[in-house]
Amino acid sequence: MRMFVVAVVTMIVLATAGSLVLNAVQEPADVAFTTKGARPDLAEAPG
Amino acid sequence: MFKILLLALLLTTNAAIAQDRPAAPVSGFNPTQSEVQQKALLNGFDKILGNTTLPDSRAATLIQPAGPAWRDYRRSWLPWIAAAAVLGMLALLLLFFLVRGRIRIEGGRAAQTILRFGAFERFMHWMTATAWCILALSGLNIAVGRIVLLPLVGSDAFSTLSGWLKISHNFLAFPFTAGIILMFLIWVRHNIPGRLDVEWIKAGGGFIGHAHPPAKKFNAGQKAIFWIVVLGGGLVAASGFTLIFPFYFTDVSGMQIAQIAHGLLALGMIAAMLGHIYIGSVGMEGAIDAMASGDVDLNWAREHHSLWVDEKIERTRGEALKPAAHPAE
Ligand code: HEM
Repeated sequence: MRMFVVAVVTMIVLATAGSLVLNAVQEPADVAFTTKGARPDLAEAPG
Repeated sequence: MFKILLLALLLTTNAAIAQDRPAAPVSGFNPTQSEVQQKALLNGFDKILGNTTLPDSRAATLIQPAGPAWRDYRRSWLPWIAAAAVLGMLALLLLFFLVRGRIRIEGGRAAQTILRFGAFERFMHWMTATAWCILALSGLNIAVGRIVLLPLVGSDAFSTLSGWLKISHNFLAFPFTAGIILMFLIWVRHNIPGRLDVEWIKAGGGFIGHAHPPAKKFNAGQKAIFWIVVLGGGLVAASGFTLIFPFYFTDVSGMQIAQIAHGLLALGMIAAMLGHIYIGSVGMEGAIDAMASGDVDLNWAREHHSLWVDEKIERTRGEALKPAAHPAE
């Protein structure tokens, strides 16, 4: 039982580490597959 | 006069013929026929491209003819294959249980246990197995969730649940792959097929009949499971990473093929693992102890892994043996 708990905790740690790596090297789909031309960024609009 | 009569005759015969046939399209255009031609035409191309000024040149793809074939496969074949793998295997296991019953320790429980799997082996097994279970459930949801789960829970719950399952499918890929690599490194030397395995299979492995063919640490059945996990799991992981890194390794067609391969391999693996889970739990008395505490009943070990027991006792000079917590009455 102890090894099962250690295994589940390690699994969560590795999955979280994987998500951090993945999010660092990849862009979210709404950024990767669109361009600024198609989605005006209102925060950058003057005034 | 004659001309007028002829014209009247022609008009009436034409009207009669027209009533027998479905109305011909005004332009002489036959939609069904041209669809066939269009399909043939499209299938001659990898993709139909237009022009775009967008920076991403992939946006110029207007039609990818293989796309509908991929979609049709996922809508028509995939649910049946999934049902055969999961429900078919469960039905076979139920049948096996009804015919063979639980495989008992024939000599009864012994007064001693022997250490079968150390802490690291159990850790590695449970990490891979837990990640695998969630990957299998979330993968099945990607494949057939819309047919199975959506009608049961409704669209709101289904979309929330699918979102979380999809995230877990992507990220549990990492501990699963780590587990597979570890298992390969730690267990491969015990899983090389040999002459003993042929004898084990010929004797029905103790599953068919009551013979107990000799086996080392892993018998032929367990070796088969090992290679299914390592090779099957390795290919499932490789095809899966092709999908979570879109366009890194291949294009859209390559990813469609990767997804089909991923789904089929995963479903085969699910069927095999259901068998493994059955034998490791309800199907065989004493088997679960190997991955629970690590210590198995000595009689169980002698019946299923006689050569391993002899070798283990000799190598550890009996230190692998312990008194059983619940000695035989
Ligand atoms: C390294 C491990 C894995 C990775 C990276 C991975 C990744 C993926 C990805 C990206 C998809 C496509 C998702 C989508 O279309 O939105 C997918 C689908 C799927 N995965 Fe996995 N997966 C992995 C392991 C597994 C395992 C172990 C199983 C089952 C035992 C599994 C079963 C499935 C199934 C059944 C599908 C659906 C296929 C389809 O709908 O055609 N996966 N996986």
